[in-house]
Amino acid sequence: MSVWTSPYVLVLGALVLLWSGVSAYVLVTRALYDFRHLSFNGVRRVVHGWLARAATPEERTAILRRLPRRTLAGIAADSRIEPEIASAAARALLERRWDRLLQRALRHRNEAEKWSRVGALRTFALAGWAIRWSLLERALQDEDEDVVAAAVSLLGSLPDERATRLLVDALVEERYSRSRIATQLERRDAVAALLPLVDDPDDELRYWAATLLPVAASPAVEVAVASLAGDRSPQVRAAAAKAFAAAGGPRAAAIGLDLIGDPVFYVRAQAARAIAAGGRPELAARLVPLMRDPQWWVRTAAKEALAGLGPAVVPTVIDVLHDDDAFARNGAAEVLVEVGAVRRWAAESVDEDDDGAVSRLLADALAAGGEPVRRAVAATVGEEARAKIERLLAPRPTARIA
Amino acid sequence: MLRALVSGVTDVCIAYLVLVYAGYAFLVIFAALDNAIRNREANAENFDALESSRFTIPVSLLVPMFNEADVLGHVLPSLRGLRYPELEIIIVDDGSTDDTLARLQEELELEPVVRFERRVVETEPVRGTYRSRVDPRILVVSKENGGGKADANNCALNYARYRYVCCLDGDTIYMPDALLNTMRLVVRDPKRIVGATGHIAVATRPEQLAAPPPGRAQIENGWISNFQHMEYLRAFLNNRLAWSRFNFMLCSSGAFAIWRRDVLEEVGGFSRDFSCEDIEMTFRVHDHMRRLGRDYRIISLPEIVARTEGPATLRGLIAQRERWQRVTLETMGHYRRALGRPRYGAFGLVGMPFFLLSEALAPAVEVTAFASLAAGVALHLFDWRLYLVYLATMAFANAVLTVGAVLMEDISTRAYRLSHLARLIALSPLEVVLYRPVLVVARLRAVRSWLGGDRSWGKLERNVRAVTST
Repeated sequence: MSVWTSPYVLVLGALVLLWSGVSAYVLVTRALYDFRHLSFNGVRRVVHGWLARAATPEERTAILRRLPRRTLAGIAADSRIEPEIASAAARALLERRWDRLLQRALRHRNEAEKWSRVGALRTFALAGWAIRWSLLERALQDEDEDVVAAAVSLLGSLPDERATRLLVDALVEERYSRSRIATQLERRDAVAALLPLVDDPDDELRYWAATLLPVAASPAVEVAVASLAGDRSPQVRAAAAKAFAAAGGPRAAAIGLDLIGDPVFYVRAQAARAIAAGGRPELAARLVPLMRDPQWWVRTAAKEALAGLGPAVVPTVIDVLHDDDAFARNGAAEVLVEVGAVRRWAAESVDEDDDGAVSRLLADALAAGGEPVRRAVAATVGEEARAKIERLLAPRPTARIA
Repeated sequence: MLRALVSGVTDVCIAYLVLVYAGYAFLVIFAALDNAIRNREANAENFDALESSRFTIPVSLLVPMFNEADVLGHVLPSLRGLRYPELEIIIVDDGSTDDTLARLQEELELEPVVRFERRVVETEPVRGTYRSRVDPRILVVSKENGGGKADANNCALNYARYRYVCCLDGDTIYMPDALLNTMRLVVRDPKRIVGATGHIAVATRPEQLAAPPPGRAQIENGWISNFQHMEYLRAFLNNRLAWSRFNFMLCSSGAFAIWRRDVLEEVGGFSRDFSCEDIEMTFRVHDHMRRLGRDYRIISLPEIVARTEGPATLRGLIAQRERWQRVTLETMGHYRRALGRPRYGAFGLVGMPFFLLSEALAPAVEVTAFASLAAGVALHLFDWRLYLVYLATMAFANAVLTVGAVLMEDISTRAYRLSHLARLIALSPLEVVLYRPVLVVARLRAVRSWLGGDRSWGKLERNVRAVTST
C-alpha cells in the first residue's frame, strides 16, 4: 500500500486541518476582541465625557438614547462605570428592547440562554423598573443555582426594603447557600425582617438570626439575641455568645458567664471570648477553669481572653502556675508572657538573688512554660537577664543525705 | 517471527496512543464547557461583597520554606497582598541552611512568641515560634529539618485554626485574587467541597510576569519555558477542569491546594513516606471519602492563582520531571487497590485507569513505540515515510490539544499579546519532537530510581538572575 493512501495520512490530514482551524479561530477571535475592546474603550471615553458634561438626567438620557445598542449594553454591564450612568444606560436599553429583554429575563432553556437571562435580570435591576421585583422573585425560585445566585447578588445591590424581604425569604426557604445570602444581608438594615426568625422552630434559622441581628441596634434586638443564649441548639447558643463578643459591653460578660459551663466545647470557647469582650479583669478567675478544659479550642480561647484583659489578670494567673493540670500551667505561662509579665520579671530579677520574690516568680513561669517560654523570653531580654534565666533553669545540686 | 513481533508491538503502541489521545480529546470537550461556565459564574459574582463579608470562610495559609532566602523579597509581598477578609499565614522554616529565617526576621520584624500547638500530627521538633510586628496575621514557626515538605505542612497544620487550610509553596508568587477566586465556590457548598485548587502558571522568572495588565507579556522567550507553559496549560485547563467536573481530580497541586482541615486531620496529615505530598494527599482523600461512602468534591478552577518557577535548563527540567514521575509511580503503586473498583466510583473506574495509561505507563510505551517503529522501518515492514507520518500525527494530535488549552486561557484572561499567541501556536506541533524526548528520558530515569527505592525529593535549583545594582 502506498504511504499516501494509508489511513494514517488521512488522520494526519484531518488533524492538521483541525489544528489550523482552531489556531485561526484563536488568532482571529483575539484580533477581533482587541479591535472591539479598543473601539469600545474609545466610545466609552467619548460618551463618558458627554455624560459628565450633561447638566440634568434628561440630557444624560437623551445622549444615551443616541448610542448603539451594543454600546449601551456594554456600559450597563461594566462594573467600573458609575452606578447612575450604568442605570441610565440600562433604562435607555430597556426603552428600545424591553420586550425581548423581558422574555430573556423570564426563563432559559440552555446554558447560553441562562447567562443571557442573568444579563437581562441585571439590566432590569439597574433600570429600576417595577417589574424587576417579580423577575428577581421568579429567579429566586428557579431550579438553576447560577440563576438564584445572580438574583441574590442583584438583590444585594438594591438598597430597598423589598429586596431585604426577598433575601430573608430566600434565606428561610434555603433557595441558595445561606451563608451567601447572609453575605448580602449583613450589609443592610434587615432587623425588622430578621427578628421573627428568633422564634423560628428551625435551629438553623435561629442561628442565622443570632448571627445577623446587630446586638447594638436596639434594646429589643439585644434582648432577642440574649434570649438565644439559652437556646436548645448549641450552634445557636454559640452564635449568640459570638454576637455579644463582637459587640462587647456589660451584657457580653454576663452572657459569657452564663455559658461558661456549657456542655458543648465550642459554646464554652465563645463564652470565653464574650467574657473578654466585657472588659472586666475581675472576671479573670472565672476563666481559669477553662484553661484545664480537655478541648484545645477552649483552652486557646481562654488564654486569648485572659491575655486580652491585660496585665490586670497577672495576680490571678500566677496562681495557675502551680496548677495540677499541665495544660493550665503552660497556658498560664503563655498568658504571662503575652501580657509582658515574664519579660518584666526577667529584667527585674537581675539585681536580685535567685531566691528573691521576683526570681521565684520567673522560675515558676519558666518551669510551667518549659522550653517554648524560655526561648521566647530569652530572645527578647538582655545578656544579664538571659544568664539569670539559664541559671534558674539549671538543675540544682541535690542535698546529700547523711 | 521477529517481523510478527515488531508488527504486533507497533499495533499495540498505536492502539495505546489512539486510546490516550481519544481520552484527552474527550476531556478537553468537558474542560471547555467547565471553563465557559466558571468564567460566566465569575462575571456574575460580587467579589466586593465576598471580600468584605464575615461569612467568607476564613483560611489558614500553610507556607513551608526551605532555603528560600533568595525569593522571599517577591514571595512575602504576594502572600501579604492576597485579597481575603480573614486569613492567617503560617510560615514554617524547615531548618533552612541559608539565611531564610534571618531574612524573615528582617522583612517581617519577627518577635518570639509562645504558641502551644494543637498536636494533631507528629512532626520534627519545633525550635521556636515568632509573630510579625508588621503583619499580625503572620506566624513563623522554625523547626528541625526532616520529613520534607510533608512534615513542614503537618507542622503548620498543628498551628492552623481555621476550617480550611491552603497549602502553598514558599517559592511561588500568588495572584492577589487567588483565594477569593477559589473560595467563592467553596463557600457555596462547604459541606461537600473538601478540596480546591486553581491554575498554576510557570515561568523561569515568575516575579517578572506576576499580575500583568491585559495584553501584556505572559510568556518568556526561551523555548524550554514556552514548552513548559504549554504543558501547564494542558495540565491545568484540559485535564484538571474535566477531572474536576467528573469528580476524580487526580492531583491538587502542592503550590496551591485548599483542603478542609477536618479531612486532612482525619486522614492523618501529610505522609512522609512519599517523595512528594500533593498527588498522594489527593489520592488519600479520594480513598478515604470513597471508603466511607461520603458525598464530597475536589474542584479545580481555570483562573491563574500563582506563578511558579520552572527550570530554565534541560538538566534542571530532567531532574524535576524525574521526581514528578517517581511520585506518580509511588502513588499509583500504593493505591492500586482502587484501580477499576466500582466502590471507588469515578476515581477508581475512570481516573486511575486514565492516570495509569497516560502517566505511569507512558514512558515505557513511548520508548517501545519509537523503537518498534524504527525496527519496523529497518525490517522493511513499512516505509520510512510512514514512520514520519506516525510522528507527525502524534505531533499534531498533541498540538490540537495545546491550541485548545491556549484558546481556553485566552478567552478567560485576554492577557496574551497576539504575537505570543502566534508563537505558542507555531511551537505547538514541535513539542513532540523537541520537548517530549527530554521528558521520556526523565521518566525512564524515574522508573529506575523508583525501582531502586529512592525517596529523595531534592530542591529546584534556582534559575540565574541578573544582578541588579542597588
